Amino acid sequence: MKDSFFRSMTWLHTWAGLLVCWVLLLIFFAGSLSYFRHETSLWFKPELHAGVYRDYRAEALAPQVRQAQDYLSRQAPGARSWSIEFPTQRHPYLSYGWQKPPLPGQRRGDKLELAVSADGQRVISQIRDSRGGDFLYRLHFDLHYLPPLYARYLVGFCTLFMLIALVSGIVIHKRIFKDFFSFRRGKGNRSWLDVHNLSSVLALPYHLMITYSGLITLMFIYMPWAIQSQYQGDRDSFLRELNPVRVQLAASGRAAPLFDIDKLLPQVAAHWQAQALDKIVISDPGDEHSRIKVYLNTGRSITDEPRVMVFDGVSGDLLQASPEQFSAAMSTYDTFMALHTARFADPMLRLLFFCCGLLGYAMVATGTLMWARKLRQQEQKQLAKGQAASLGLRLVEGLNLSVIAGLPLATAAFFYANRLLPPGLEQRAQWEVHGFFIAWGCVALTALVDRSVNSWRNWLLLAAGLWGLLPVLNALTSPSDLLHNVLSRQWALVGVDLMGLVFGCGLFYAATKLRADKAVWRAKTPVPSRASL
Amino acid sequence: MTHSPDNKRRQGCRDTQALAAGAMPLVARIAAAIFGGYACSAVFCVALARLLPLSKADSTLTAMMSSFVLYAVAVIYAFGATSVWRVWGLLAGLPLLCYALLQLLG
Repeated sequence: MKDSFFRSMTWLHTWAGLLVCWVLLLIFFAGSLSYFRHETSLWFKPELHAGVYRDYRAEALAPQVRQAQDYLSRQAPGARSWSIEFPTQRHPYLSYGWQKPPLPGQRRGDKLELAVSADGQRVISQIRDSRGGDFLYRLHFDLHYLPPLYARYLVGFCTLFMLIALVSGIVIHKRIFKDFFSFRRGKGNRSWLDVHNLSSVLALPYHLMITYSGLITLMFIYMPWAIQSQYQGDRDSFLRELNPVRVQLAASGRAAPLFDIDKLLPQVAAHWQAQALDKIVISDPGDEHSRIKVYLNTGRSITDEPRVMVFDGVSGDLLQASPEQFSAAMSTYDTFMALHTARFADPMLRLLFFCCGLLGYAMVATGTLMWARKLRQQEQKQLAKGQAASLGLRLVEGLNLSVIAGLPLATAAFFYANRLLPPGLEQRAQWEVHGFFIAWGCVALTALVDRSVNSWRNWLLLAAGLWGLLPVLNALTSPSDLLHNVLSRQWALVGVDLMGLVFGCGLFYAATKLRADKAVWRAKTPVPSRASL
Repeated sequence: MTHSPDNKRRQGCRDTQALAAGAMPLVARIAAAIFGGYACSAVFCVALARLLPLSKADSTLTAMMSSFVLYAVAVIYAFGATSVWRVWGLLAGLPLLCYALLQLLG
């Protein structure tokens, strides 16, 4: 195409990256935060921060399950499913939940989750409705306000571009080892390129892994052709063959009494050598086709596929149990999924994944910032004569400002909306999400008119302030504060507060650095007031 | 990344000229990369699922997981190869040929 392979790959790297960079920024940011999905969700429900039942005790399981079955059959007789979730490291409370039958126009019914009080006697039902970490998790592949299927195609397309950009980036990076150790500060484009190289190469294995495994998580949508030809498009029978416990049975509509779940526990304990349980899910309780699924707490083993025992809900017979060993192909698939979600990881490893994800954010951000700078340099002469910037330049700079500075701000707004919206608000969970997009929209609107360094700095400072004050917000609007959470060893809550502080410091640092950068621009360009990143 | 800034600017001009002069071959390459590449990996996926000496579920899963590698290779090839005719020949011809073979195998 170009006169050499190297040039062609440079061209490919630039365009493959740039065309989708803003969607990639969103995916990287929301995806990185999703590593702390459950911790975030917990932070979003202050009612669960104190006075809940927190310890996993094997000998207490039977009475707990009895109590749960009793409570759920009184409170939620017609539910689609019930769940009893035991305290685990990332879900540090005992809870009962159920899913209502879907309302007209709903794909799935609403879910409710109630926690058990610390003495094990009371059910805490006054818990605010909030999506918390689940919103950010969904955002990174379902986007929002879009039909999920279209969104997933769009995300898949962008992910493929990311893979192409990575491969071509490796090809064109001739001095991968030498450049790794060079960072030239305050040298304009050169410095941005150094940061771009550094963030790419430092976490390269992670970037390749997360991109490829991302495609694999949704490959049933993107590459269904083998299932089409081998199974005549019957995806369920394919999944069943892979892992028999995935069988889903539709409700029969004929009533039948539910088996006493606590009587299954001795059999479960014998099967799994008394290892800790994660949860029990009962589908279609009170129906002839009801199933009781008991999930093992897989904790740190590198697997994403849940280990399950499936019982008949009426007779209590064991129908299926997860195989102890999967085939090589299935294990590979399972490992890819586990690597992508990091569900196996302990907090430190998850933190490393989180940092790598943010490096990915930095990689894409520096790439697109470099592009904007190059465009501006190309148009420098016209701009100096007082002509307006081209549409391309305005678009790139505007999107850069709204996405790179807007995302941290919007996320902070989401956290604040959770605590500051009035408690009785109709559709409160939905309004928290709207809060995210309203804040983001504000940044985007100002980016239409003002993309100067000043505008960048103001938004970054605002975001820095909001994130930095997150522990204060938490102390004022939850039963406890950072110090007491450290003392009571609630590390999930401590972690979210600390993340706020770190984000605050980072964004503040970025905002102060902008001032220095502006000075460079002033020295070089005759129109400092319109200088921009 | 070894170009001096001057070189780079000159190259930038040349790129723009090349783009203006040869938009059609570029569009052809992009189409070949996106659609031809997808067709290649889809047919590859079906063929691999059929031919791998594993159980039906395992070969299907393996084929699906590896198909994206081929997609990436096909895109790199579409932009790296010298002749746009050869690109189209391979990325359109290969899937058609494979598809015909699969139909013959039944």
